[in-house]
Amino acid sequence: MTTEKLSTSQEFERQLAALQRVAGVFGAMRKGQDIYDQITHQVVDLLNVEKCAVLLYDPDQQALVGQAPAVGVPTQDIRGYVIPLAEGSPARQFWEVGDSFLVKDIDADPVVQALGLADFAHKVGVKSTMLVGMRLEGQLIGVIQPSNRRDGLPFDETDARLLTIYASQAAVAIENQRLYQAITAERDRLARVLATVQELSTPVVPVLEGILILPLIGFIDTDRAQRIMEGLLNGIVQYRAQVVILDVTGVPVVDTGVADHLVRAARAAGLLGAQPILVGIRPEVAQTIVGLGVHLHEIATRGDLRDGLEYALAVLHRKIVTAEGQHVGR
Amino acid sequence: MEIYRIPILQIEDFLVASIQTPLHDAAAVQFKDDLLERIYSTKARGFVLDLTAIDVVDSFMARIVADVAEMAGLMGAHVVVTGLQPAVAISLVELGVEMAGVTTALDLDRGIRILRELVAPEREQADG
Amino acid sequence: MADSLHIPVLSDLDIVMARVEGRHMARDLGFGVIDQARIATAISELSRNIVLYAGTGTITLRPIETPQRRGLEIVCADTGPGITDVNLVMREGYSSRRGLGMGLPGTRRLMDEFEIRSRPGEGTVITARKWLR
Repeated sequence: MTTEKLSTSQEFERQLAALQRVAGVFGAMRKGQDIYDQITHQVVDLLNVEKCAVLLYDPDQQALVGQAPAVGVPTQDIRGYVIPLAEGSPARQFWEVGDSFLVKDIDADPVVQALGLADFAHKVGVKSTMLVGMRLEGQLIGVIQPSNRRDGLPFDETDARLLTIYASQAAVAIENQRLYQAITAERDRLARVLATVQELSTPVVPVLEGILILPLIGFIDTDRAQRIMEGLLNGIVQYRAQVVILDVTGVPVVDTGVADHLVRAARAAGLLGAQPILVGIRPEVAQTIVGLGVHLHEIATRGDLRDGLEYALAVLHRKIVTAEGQHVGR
Repeated sequence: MEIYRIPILQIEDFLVASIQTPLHDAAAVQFKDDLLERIYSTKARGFVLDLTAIDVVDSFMARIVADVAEMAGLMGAHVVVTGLQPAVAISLVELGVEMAGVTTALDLDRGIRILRELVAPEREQADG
Repeated sequence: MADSLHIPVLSDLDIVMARVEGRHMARDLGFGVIDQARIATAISELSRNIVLYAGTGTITLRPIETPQRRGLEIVCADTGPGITDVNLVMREGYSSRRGLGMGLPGTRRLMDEFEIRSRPGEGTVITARKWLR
């Protein structure tokens, strides 16, 4: 009775120590570094073994497939390491029922023989091995397989329990990385889509020589107004425009905020040597702009795009532009 | 203290200066004085101030530029400011600083062309 | 990430240094060229105000961070005469010296957040922030 109690509490101590070791080892995981590299090296340290590999369950192949890199097994070999789990496979029972599977002697083990893995084991130098399942929410997602204890002894229950604790954490880490990669890929995809949309919503249209048209469509908030201004100025530089026509026909609401931004965009265009022409301004919009205290003679305006283009051509013909939009010439 | 003086070059009968380094206030004022002195002594008809290399223009600098244009104009020279970067232009208009009355152009090439066009009719008139 | 940068402002040379440092910090934080120019211009205006109105002061540039976003903070402090009427100087079009004024409404437009605290006789602290979009 006493002996039993002792060994239970000893066992408890051992498990607690194991938990602490696993926590310590796991806390050292670093983001970004290959996760299989980290897991296999940590298990090698944890159990003091020569080799370790991670296998993940592939539902298409219905098999466990080795992941690179592994410790003690060359990459091209580990990639070809497959344990079939389909109906009728000797490994199937382990998959469905067991948590760990210990192989004391490769040559003597019937399951290893039945799976035809003895040759592979010899090739990579495995003498004894253990498979411990990684469970995520009850589901087995793969196994960790350490091989060859450095002290030469076969794997025992203590090793299995220790690795089981570690494996449950490893499962979470693998899943997290998978999710992280999926989210990052989606985020990058969305960023590309957004960039395209933004490009399309602030287009500049170069016409003839030295004339740029900026057709504005839809509602303009501060963010969009800033992007429009940047696009406009970059367009002036790119196309060496001398006249820019800002067409606000398609903007339903031009309040003081929008008018403010338009005027600033026009002034900025002027600083780059391009005369701004505002077209498509409805009477109420004109009132808003005047109400801002903007002297309209600073910025030329015309009724519609066609008038604007005619005027632009006349300006180009006269060729001389000042920042105020006045014409100095013959 | 030695103040770095901005080189002022002559192309045809115009003066050209290109500001390459960040200017502190004293240097900017020195430059303005040098420039007006050169315009006077060379009887230059026009001057191009190239700001391509400038990445920040604040209210003080803008004031100097506007003053230079006005003063040079009084001395009979046209001034064209070229090479303002989009980022600088945006900052200036948001700051609310006007360089009213200052002629601007995209680059040095355009600036010289504008000066030629501005000056040619004046020459015609002068020749009768 | 860089730490905060304290720049004593005593002369026009310091104005240039402050805006050059500010631009570098903005660039390192990932701001685009346009926002770099906005930030540098704001720093230039604010530090010039110190030289013009207070004589001496400091500019502190600091990267800032919340769980959602990152940005840059400018704190401009002096023990000068202070501003008697903050509302007046923040009004568009106000100018006090040769048409230059203090340029505060314009400077505010360049940044995303802008606060002034000032006591006549004690000095002024202006805090401005710009966030990465």
